[in-house]
This record gives sequence, structure tokens and C-alpha cells, in this order.
Amino acid sequence: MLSITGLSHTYPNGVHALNNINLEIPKGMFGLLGPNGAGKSSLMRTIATLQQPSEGSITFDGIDILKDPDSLRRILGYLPQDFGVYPRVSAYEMLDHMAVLKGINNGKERKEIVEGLLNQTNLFHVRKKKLKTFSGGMRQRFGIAQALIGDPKLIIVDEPTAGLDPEERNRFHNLLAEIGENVVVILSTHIVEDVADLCPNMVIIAGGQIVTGGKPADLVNELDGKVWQKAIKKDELEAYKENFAVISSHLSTGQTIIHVLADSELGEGFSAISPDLEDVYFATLHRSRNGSAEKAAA
Amino acid sequence: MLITIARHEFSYMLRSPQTIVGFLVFFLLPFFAMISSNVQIGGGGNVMVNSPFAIMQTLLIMSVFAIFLVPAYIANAVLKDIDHKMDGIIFATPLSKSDYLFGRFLGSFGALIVALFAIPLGMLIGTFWGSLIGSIDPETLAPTNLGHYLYTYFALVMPSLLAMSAIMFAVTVMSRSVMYTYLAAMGLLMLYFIGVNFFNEPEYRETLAIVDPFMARTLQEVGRYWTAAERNTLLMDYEGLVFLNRMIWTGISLVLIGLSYAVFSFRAPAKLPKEKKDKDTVSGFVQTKAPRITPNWDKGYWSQFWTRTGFEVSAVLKSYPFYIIVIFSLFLVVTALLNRNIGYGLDTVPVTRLMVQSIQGLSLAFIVIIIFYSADIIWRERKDGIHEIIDATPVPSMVFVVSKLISLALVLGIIAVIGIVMAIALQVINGQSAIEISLYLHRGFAHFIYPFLLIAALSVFIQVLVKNRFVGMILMVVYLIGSIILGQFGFEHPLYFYGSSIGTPLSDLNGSGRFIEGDYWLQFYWTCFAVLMLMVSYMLWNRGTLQPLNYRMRALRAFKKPVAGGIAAVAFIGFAASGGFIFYNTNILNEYITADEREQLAVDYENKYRQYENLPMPRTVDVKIDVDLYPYERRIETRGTHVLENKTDASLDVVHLVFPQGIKVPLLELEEASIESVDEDFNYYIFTLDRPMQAGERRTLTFETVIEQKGFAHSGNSVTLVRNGTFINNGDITPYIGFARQGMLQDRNTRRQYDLEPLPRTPKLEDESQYDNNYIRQDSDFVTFETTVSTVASQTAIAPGYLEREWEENGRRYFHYKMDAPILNFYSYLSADYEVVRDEFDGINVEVYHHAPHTYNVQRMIDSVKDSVRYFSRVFSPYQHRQVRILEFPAYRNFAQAFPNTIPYSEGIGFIADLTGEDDIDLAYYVTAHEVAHQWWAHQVMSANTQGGTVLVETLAQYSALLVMEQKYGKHQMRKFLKFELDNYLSNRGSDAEGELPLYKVENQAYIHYRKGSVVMYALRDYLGEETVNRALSRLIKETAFSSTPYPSTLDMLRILREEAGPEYDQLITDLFERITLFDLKAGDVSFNKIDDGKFKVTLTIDAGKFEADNKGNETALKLDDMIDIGVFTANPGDAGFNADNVLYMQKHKIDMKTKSVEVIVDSKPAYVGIDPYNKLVDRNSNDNIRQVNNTAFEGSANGN
Repeated sequence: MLSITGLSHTYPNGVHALNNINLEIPKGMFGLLGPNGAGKSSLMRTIATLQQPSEGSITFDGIDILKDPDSLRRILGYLPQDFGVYPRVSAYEMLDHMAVLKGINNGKERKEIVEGLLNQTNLFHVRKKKLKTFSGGMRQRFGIAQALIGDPKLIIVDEPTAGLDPEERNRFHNLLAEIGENVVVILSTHIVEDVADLCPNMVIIAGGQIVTGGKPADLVNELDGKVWQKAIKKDELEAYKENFAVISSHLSTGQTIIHVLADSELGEGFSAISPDLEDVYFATLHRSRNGSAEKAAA
Repeated sequence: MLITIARHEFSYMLRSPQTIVGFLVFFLLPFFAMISSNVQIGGGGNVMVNSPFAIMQTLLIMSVFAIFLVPAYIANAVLKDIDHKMDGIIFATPLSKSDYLFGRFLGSFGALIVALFAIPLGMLIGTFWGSLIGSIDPETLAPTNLGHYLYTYFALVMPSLLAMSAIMFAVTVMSRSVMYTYLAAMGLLMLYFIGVNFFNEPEYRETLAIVDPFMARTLQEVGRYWTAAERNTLLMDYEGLVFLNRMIWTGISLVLIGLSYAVFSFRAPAKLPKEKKDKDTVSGFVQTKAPRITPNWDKGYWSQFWTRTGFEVSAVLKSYPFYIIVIFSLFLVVTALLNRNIGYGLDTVPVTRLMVQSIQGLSLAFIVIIIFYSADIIWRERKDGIHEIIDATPVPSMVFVVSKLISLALVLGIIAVIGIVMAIALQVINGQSAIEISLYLHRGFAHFIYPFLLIAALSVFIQVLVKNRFVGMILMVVYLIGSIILGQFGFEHPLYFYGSSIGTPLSDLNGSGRFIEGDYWLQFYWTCFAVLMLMVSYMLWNRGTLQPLNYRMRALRAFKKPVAGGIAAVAFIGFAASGGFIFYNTNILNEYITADEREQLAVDYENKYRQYENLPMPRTVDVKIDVDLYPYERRIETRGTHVLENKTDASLDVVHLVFPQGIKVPLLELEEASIESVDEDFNYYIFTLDRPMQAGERRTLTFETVIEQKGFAHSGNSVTLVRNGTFINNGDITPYIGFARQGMLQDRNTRRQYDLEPLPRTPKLEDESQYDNNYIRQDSDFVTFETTVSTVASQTAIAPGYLEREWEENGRRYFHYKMDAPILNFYSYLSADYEVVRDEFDGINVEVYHHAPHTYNVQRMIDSVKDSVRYFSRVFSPYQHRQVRILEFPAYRNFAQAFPNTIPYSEGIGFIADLTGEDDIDLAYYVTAHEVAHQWWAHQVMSANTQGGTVLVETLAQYSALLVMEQKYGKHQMRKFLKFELDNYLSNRGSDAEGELPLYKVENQAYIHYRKGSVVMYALRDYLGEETVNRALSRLIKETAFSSTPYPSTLDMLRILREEAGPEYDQLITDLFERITLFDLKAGDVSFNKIDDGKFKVTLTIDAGKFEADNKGNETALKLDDMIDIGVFTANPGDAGFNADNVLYMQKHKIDMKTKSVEVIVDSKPAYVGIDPYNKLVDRNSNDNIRQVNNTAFEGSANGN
């Protein structure tokens, strides 16, 4: 459905935000995973027709996005990562306004859509409140609601679950999963769980490049038997990092647990674990960092 | 810590873009003002362009505009943390509030001072550059004195900036909003202009001088009566008004800064959102799950467009700034509506035309609103942070651009409508019946607003192109400045300056006339351009991330689409075609001549023909002339027969004739002569006489001329050739015999730029060669006159003379006028759709021809004619005509002028003056009396073409009018009138280009022959007695009336005056007429005590001096030995109710250098005592002549006894 070829973007100050991205995104949920500053939002904005790339092309269902952005916008639902609201406008008014802008000209239809979305995002009871007074989570839900107006074929949601409590997050996942059956939904996040829960396909992006991609299960399978875990003391961490490919460390009941990448058994108290998507993510970032470090060294 | 913060802030601000842009703008403004020969601030005349006065004026005026820059620094310094959401972090640091606030303030204020140092720098470098490229005449440049610049900037301007910064600081701290701070700046500026305009009566001057934060009015007041010499040397010292002003504003600044400190808190007040209780009862069925409805785009984007427009409009209407703007505009309109001053403290009647012009006074406010609001509207989504959501919707950018433009238009429209409603309300309150709704809708609304929509389109365009709204605003300011100054650099053509217009003056008689046609074409032309600009705007509309222009330029390919391309093509064709049509009108039908080219033409004329200046020529002695007026076609055809007579002693071989510029001469024949050369550039014709013209011989000159306004010119469209209200004088349609001196450049500075010798304004008084020439025109003396004038059937045409016959022929009306006695070769034609009011007295007809609704003051004019003719006939000489006619003409020109038995009188002055106030000076009566007096002083006694010539004409007409006015309105009115006259005279002395002269040598300087003339003649009458003065004037008439060989001069007048007055007044006449005498009279302490028989002895200490000024205003002390009034009163002579009963004592005392006090004895208790209390003498400070007596003075002296 969505195909991206040779997409690069360099900001006027010389920063390479995107570097030769090639991507085919099929119908369904698609996860875009990456650390902060990896270029996720740049990519999302570019697809959402809000940023012109330096090079490359994007097509969706036969539409050349860069040449004919208006056609894409007719079938686009977009939730930006960070957005503000007009002062002195209520949630209902704003959704109604958005519905008109998205082409729902019939007043009755508009009412149904707006009320429905307000209910689905659990905002109906505050629909007359000014958006300006909304809390972060409420505002995020409003953002989701507006993105779903007008039966979009391409939905781009940038960090959608930021600021949502677990209940709201579940609710949102369900909503997306339901819609995502027939359309393309691109979900950008740095939360691995979101992708793990929802996306049949994903890529990991770092430093403006796609470092890996595929079905989450396949990616996890590739790591099978290669991730080892050990509980160490906090002050030992640096030494381990010197000697092993430590992909992640986290605290658990006062101890530092490290995950190490290795093709063969390491002994010394390392135990094999079955990897999850988080390990894939960290391993990929680890490789990517080392790769660029080596490049820099060379 | 404070220093560190200030230093950090200072360097941050200094490196920010507003410093670069601000520095550039404020450098270029004074720089261009200096190097442009046409812009003059402060300098001019004998005042050097870099004199301390010019420096002060330039810097102070620039500091007013600097107010636009202040918020960029001050508001930014306070708000940048909040704007960038850094407040949480910064405010949580252990920084003290005072360090933070004052540090930020000092740092940004320091940066502001550095940025605005561009002003003195721009002026300074401008003077060097200007003298280098030759646009500044070295003679008008004083040696550079850096001290003047530094003192002015740091001692005078910097405190103003501090005050402005303190105000902005307070507003920012309290509102925490950049928009409000800018609004406050705008409001302050508007209030400032309102205040300055509203309180323009002399009594407010001192108050304004004290409160003006920018000190522009302070300079005006302090330097009001400064002479050129003083303007070239003096700076405003920190004393008196200046000191008081600076103290007040420094005080206000400190208080505001303190207040801001008190109000500011790191903890933003937790605002509880005020929400109405939600009525959560939902009636009916509520959708719980949104249906999937696919949008249908078959019907285009209309519904998006309307929704968006409604949204934008309501966003504007809901915003508080809008109401602030509306209130400010309201202030502005009301002020303009109420301010219809026409001099002498009078207002006009609120006729719709003036109301509309007042509404048009909103122009500046409109531009400011456009600049600020367009930035706000265009950047609204981005500012609110919702741009990514809105920009990703499938709405074409065009919808956004157009809806935003419409909301901008709506703001302007609402303000204009409010203005119109206010204006109509004012008219209703004033009982004005002629409320012309159509004029309001046309010139007060549609035609007025439209050009601003074009400017709004430009502002939208610019805001779309730039990446920062402040840059966009500054670019608009640059555009605004460009629109003001570009014309002064020779770029006058309206075709190349966006949003230009062609002057469309208004008149009650002639409405908008045909002036408006050219302007409509121009508006159409720029509309086409605006369409193209808007198309580019929507194509380049920044959606989502702000991107460099070169990325966005790709979107211009949308022009390839058929609809867009088609519209663009139509707009482009419209632009080109209307441009072509305008060019055809301005450059082909009319000649496109810039002001500079016009000067060059005058120079060429002089170089080519001045050689013939003193060639003896015959003179016109008889004028027979037929004039056909075609008001609708804006054409006048003239057929004339002049009889020329050789009045010289020798025979003449050649005759030179000059016709007015731009006039066609289809026929020109001189008896027994053939044309030797024709110069069409200057309409200069030279005839060789077939047979020399002997002394005393007469020959006939036959000519035809056509003067026509074809289409429209870029400027200077004829105000004489109009549909209703033709007023043209013979100088525009008939030839001048010999080289016409008035075709040469007159201004000496301009002449110097073209390397021409200065031209004496007037020949010297002693120049006997000019005694046989009069000062009106030198190619004729008194002539016999007969004319036939025709006009369209609906109008009446009038010329001097008596109506012999009136008939209709071919649908036109003809009038044959004939004069029964010789007149000066000076006559005019008027034609309009007139109402006539007739009256008769002593066998003399009075007729007032006026525009139907202008009936307000017609009776006063008739009364004035009667009183004047009777009075002047009695004391001077009989009236030479049997008729006086007053004729109204359009307000394109504002004067009245006396032709033989005919007085054209502008609708702008007496006809619509509001004279209903009890204490008002009767302007209509005064002007009429003055013009009637010209029937004696001009049309009986005409003066020689020398210095002092206008004394016999204008000064004596002023004197005559004063006599009639005093008779009707009493002495108190006269004192009020004379105070205006004295003030006007003293104010204008310093700006006279060629220097002041004593009255008897006046060189057509209005402030001397009218204003000083009134004061001098009134004083003369006071000393000599009215009877003596009138006897002398009547003798002047007896001896010199209708005399052309020679014409009298002021020498004759002063001779007769001295003979009639006797030797005791010799010194007085010298002081009044023959030198520039100034008195400095001041009433000091007063004391009084009761003496025997219930009388009071009053002792007034006085401080008196007398000076003579030279033509530049340098004063030397004179020996004081004069008779001067000492008065004792029970009321202030300046008060309205003051009358003769209030005068306890009024006598002339001999005052000399040794006089320190004066004692007088009066019958009752004094309240006011004064020296020259009625301001009869020329005194530079006429306000300190009277002293109020207080009771302590009494008790003090009583104890002393």
C-alpha cells in the first residue's frame, strides 16, 4: 500500500534526519520503533504531507504523496506527537470543525461521528469543556478522536499512548486494532510493548536509518538462544560492558540485571533466556551504535 | 548575579534578529531623511540641517516610532522563558526575583539602546553622505558637533525610551502576553497622536510639553519662538519644562518598574478555569460508536471555506485584543470627528465630507492593525500548536488564505462602520440635516477600505513567505516607510509601487469629481496583482513543518493546473491591460513629470529665456475675452483680444509672450508682426514686429487657448477643471507679455542645488525701476475689461464686471460681463450650480452664490459686506463698484481672494465654519471684511513691485477688517483675535527660509504682512488714535489710488503716516514698521495698600526690555524709552466675561531702562495688574504680562505701614 523509496532529508543546518529510507508498508498495523531523535517524527511528518523531503518518493495506493498531497490528506488520519489547541473552543466544537474540514458536510452525519468518537475516546462527558482546560491524557484522546474522523485509509499516530493511563491505553489499542484491519496504521513509538501488542509488522529506526525490520515474531526468533541474562552488582556494570555485548541493563529488586548478546554460552552465571521484542530492540540499537562507532573509528 | 543576568540578556538580545533589523530600519530612516532633499525634519530655511534643533527634532520624532521596537526587547526578555516553556525550569532555580527581573530588564534595555543608537548614527552618516553626493547643500550644513548628537540621544531620547520600556515591562509582566504588549504599544501611540491632535489649542501647549513622553511637543513649545540663530545653537537644557517632563517620566518609569516587581511572581497564578456547569443530560439518542462515513468531495470545498471563514471571524471577534483595537479606533475616530479646527479656535459644521475625511484619518490605525493582526491571524495555528492537525486536513491552502484575509477585512470593515455610526451620531447631535449616506458608503467605506484590503493581501503574502512573524511585521513597516519616502526620490509613478493611489480630493460642490476614475483604474490594476500574490500565497502556504522557501517553491507548479493557470492568466492579463491603460493616461495623454523633472524644466526655462528679463515690452491696456467652460469635459476654450500699448519711451522691435505650461495655443496673432520662434516646451513665443512699435502706439493681440484635463495624470490632476465649481483665473488661460519671472525656481536652496544664484524674492524697496510695475503682474497696469463666458445650461458662470446680457444658445448659457472702470489685469471665472442670496444697501448689490446646503454663514457674510463697505466708504474713500459678489468654490483650495467686485471664497473656510459659540471669532465676517477691504487696498491702491508691497494690500486689509470687527464684536474679541495673530507671527519667524524683514520691507511673507501686520496696525491705532490713522490712510488713497506711474510703496505710506502723526511718534513708527522690534515685558510682584478716602495704591514691579532682531533672529538690546500700558483690573482680561467695567485703570506710562516699578492709585480693590496687558506690543512671552493680586500682598504691605 504505502511505499517509500530512497527517502532522505537533510535540515538546512546539515542534520541528516532521514537517510535513504526504503520501506513497503502493507495493510494493518505497522510499528515504527526507535529511540528519541531517531527520525521517527520526521518520517511520520513526511508521510503525513507536512514536510518536504530532500530526496525520495512516497506513494500510497497509487497517490504520489509529494506531488499530490491533497489527495492523500483526504484519506489521512494524523495524530501528531505534540500538539496544542485553539483557545476558547470546546471539544465538541473542535471535533465538529475538524469533521467539516475532513469533508463530512452533512450535519447529521457529522453529529453521529462526533458523538460516536467522543464516546469511543471517553470524552463525551467533557465535550463542552474548553480544550485548553484538558489534561494531557484528555487532550491526547481528543487527538486520537480527530484522527479517526472521515474513515481514513492511512492513519499515522505519533507516540499515541504518551500520557495515557493503562486503562486508556488498552482502550486505545483496541480501537486501533479494530480500525487497523482494513487500513494502514503507522504507529510510531519508543515503547516496545505497544508494538509487541499491536503490530504484525515493524521496523526499528535509528540515526535516520532503518536498522532492521520484519514481523516481530521473526525478529524475536532470530535472537533465540543468543540472549543471556545475569544479575550483577551495580559497580560491576562498567566491567561487564567492557567485556560483553551488554544490550540492556535494568534494576530488579535492588540488583542490576544485564542482558548480553552472544552466539554461544557464556557461563559465569549467565543464564539463557528466551528473548522478547525488547531484546530485539536493544540488540538492534546496540549493533547500530557499534556499527556507527566502528565506522567512526575506521 | 544581576549583572551576570543583565550581561547575558544584553548579549543574547544584541545577537537576535530584531537588533539587526531594528538597527537597519532606524539607521536608514534618518539616513534617507538626511540625504533626500525633499524630506526635512527640523532644518530648512536658515536653520542648518544638522543644527541642534534639527538633531533634536529628528531624534525625538524617530523615538516615537521606536516604540514599535520596544516590545520586541522588553516583552521578549520577560516572556521568552514562558513562551519556550522554560519557565518551569528557570523559575525553580534559586534565582532571586529581583536579579531575574531587573537583570533581564537592564540587559534588554541596554540592547535596545544600542540598537537605536542607529538613529543618531544614521543622521550623522547621512549628513556626510548627503554632502558627498551633493544632495545636501554645504551651505545648509553646520560643522559636525558630536556633542549635540550624544546629548540629544542620551539626555533627551534615552529617558523617553526608558519610560516606554518601563510601561511595556509593566504590561508584559501583568499580561504575560506579547500580543497585549504590542497592543499596549499601539494603544499608547494612538493615545499619543489623539492627545496631540485633540489638545491643539494654545492653552494646552504647556501641559502637553510637560506630559509628552517623547518630548516632541516639549521641543515645539520650548523652541516655538526660537529664531534661526537660536535653532542653530541651542539645545534644550534640563530646566523648566524639560526638567519637569523628564522628572515626571523618570518617576513614572521607576514606579512602573517597582510595580512590575511587586506583581511578578515565579509562581504563575493557578487559574481555576471558569466553566459553566455541564448539563450532562443528553436528550435523545447518543451515538456511542462513530459510523464510518467516507467524505464526499463532489461539491468542492465551499462548506470548508464557509466554516473556516466563520471560524476565523469568530476567533477575531472572541479575542480581547479585538475589542481593545475597536476601542482605540473609536477614540481615534471620535477625536478626528471632533477635531475640525479651522484656525482662530474655531471648528467647522459637521458636514458629511469632513466626517468622511475624519474617518479616513483611520488610515494609519488600519495599517497598524493590518500589520499586527495579519501576523496574528496567519500564524494563529502555529502559535496555538495545532498546525499539524489542521494542516493535515484535506482542505486546500487557498481556503485558509482566503478565510484569513476575509477575517482581516472584517476587522477593518467593523471599525469603519463604527466610525460611520459615530459620525452620523455626531451629525444628529449637532442637528446637521444633510447626512449623505451614499457619501459615507462610498468614500467612508468602500473606496476607503479597499486599498487596505490590498495592503492586507500584501501582508498575508509576506507573512507566508517569511519564517518568523516579526520579520514579516518589520518588512511591512519597511513597505510602509517606502510608500512614504519613495516618491521623494523621484519614484513617483503609481504603476510601480504596490497599493499606490491617485489623489481623490473631496468637495461638497463637486463630490468625488472625476478624480476617482483614475484611482479606480489603479485599484483594479493592483487587485489583479493582489490576486496573483494570493495565489502564490496559497501555493507556498506552509503546511506542517516550517520549511525553507526553496522547498516550498516546488508548489508553484500548481500554476500549471488549468483552473489556477486560467485565473492567473486572467489576473495577469488584467494587470497588464489596466497597467497599459493607466500608462496611456499618465504618460501619453498626460505628461509624466516627476517633481525633480519639473524643477529641471524650470531651470531650463531660466537658462534659455532669462536673458530677456529686462527687455522692454508693451503692456496690456484693454482686455476683451470670450471663455467657454466645458465643466463635464474638463476643458476651457478661450478667445481673447488684448490691446497692447507701448508705454516705454523707445520704439520696440520684438514682443515676447509666455503662455501657461501645458496649455494649447491654436491661434496667436499680433498686429503687424510675425512669429520668429515658437518653443512648445515652455509655450514661449517671440514675435518680430514688421514695423517697430512707437512709443504710445497700440496694437491688437488675438489669441485662442485650450486648457484641458485629459484622462488622468499620476498626480496634480487639475482642480480648476471640474464638473461643479470651476474656479480659474486669467493667469491660467492668457499669455504673459515678456519673460515671466514666476516660471523660475524660487526657493533659494533648490536654486543652489542647480547652481543658480538666489533670486531676490522681491525687488528692493529702493529700486526705482520697479516703481512703475505693480506686484501682481508686471505686463499690465489698470485695464478696461469685457468678457463673455459660457457654461453648461445648469450652471451659472461669473466673472468680474456687471452682467450686461444673459442668454441661452445651443443648450449652453452665456453671460456677458463688462466693467465700467479700469481694473487690474486680474480676473477669474467661476461656474457652478449655485443658489443665490441677494441683498441691497445704499444702491449696492450684494450677492452670495453658494452651494445649496451651505447656508450656515451666508447672512454673516452679507452683514459683513454691508458693514465693511459702509465703514470703508466713510473713513477711506467711496466704493468704486456698485456690486459685491461672493462666490463659493470647492475646498480643493482653502482661501478667499478678492477680484474686482468679485470674491471667490472657498467652501472650506467661512461657508461651513461653526460660529454658533457665543465667544467665537466670527471667521466668516472677518474673512469677508478682509476681502471687501481689498476693493480699496489692491483695487484702488495698488503697490509697486518692491519690498513692502503687500503692506499696502494685505496689512491694510487686515487693519480694515479689524476696524469692522471691533465695531461689531468689541475689544475683547479683538484681543482674542490678536493673540492668535501674535502667536502665529512669532511661531513662523524661525522657519523663514530667507530671514525675517521689518514690516515695511516685507517680501510677501504671510506671517509678517498678515499676522504681524494686524498686531502692528492695532498698536499704531492705539497710540495714534483711530482718527489719525484713518486720516492718513484716506490721504494715501487720495494721493495714490489708481496710480500706476508710479505705484505707491510703503515709503509713501510711512511718509503720510509721519506727517499726520507728528514728530512725537517718529520713534514708534520706526519701531513698528522699520525694524524688527521685540519687547520683553514681565509683570513682577504686586503689592497694594489702602490709602485715604478708600482708594488703593498699587505697586507693580516690572521687568522690561526692548530688542531689535536681525533677519536671522540675532537680538541686540535697544534703549527702552516707550509709553507702555499699565492696567489694573477686577477680572482677568483673558477671561470671557471681561468687559469695560472690570477696568480700574488703563494708562500709558513712560517706561525706560531705569523703571523698576510703577505705582498707580485706583478706586477699588485690584484683582489683576499688568504691563501691556492687552498684548498690543510684540512680546515673545505674552503670558507673563499680567499678575494676579493675592491677599498676602495686601496684608504684607499693610503690616509694613
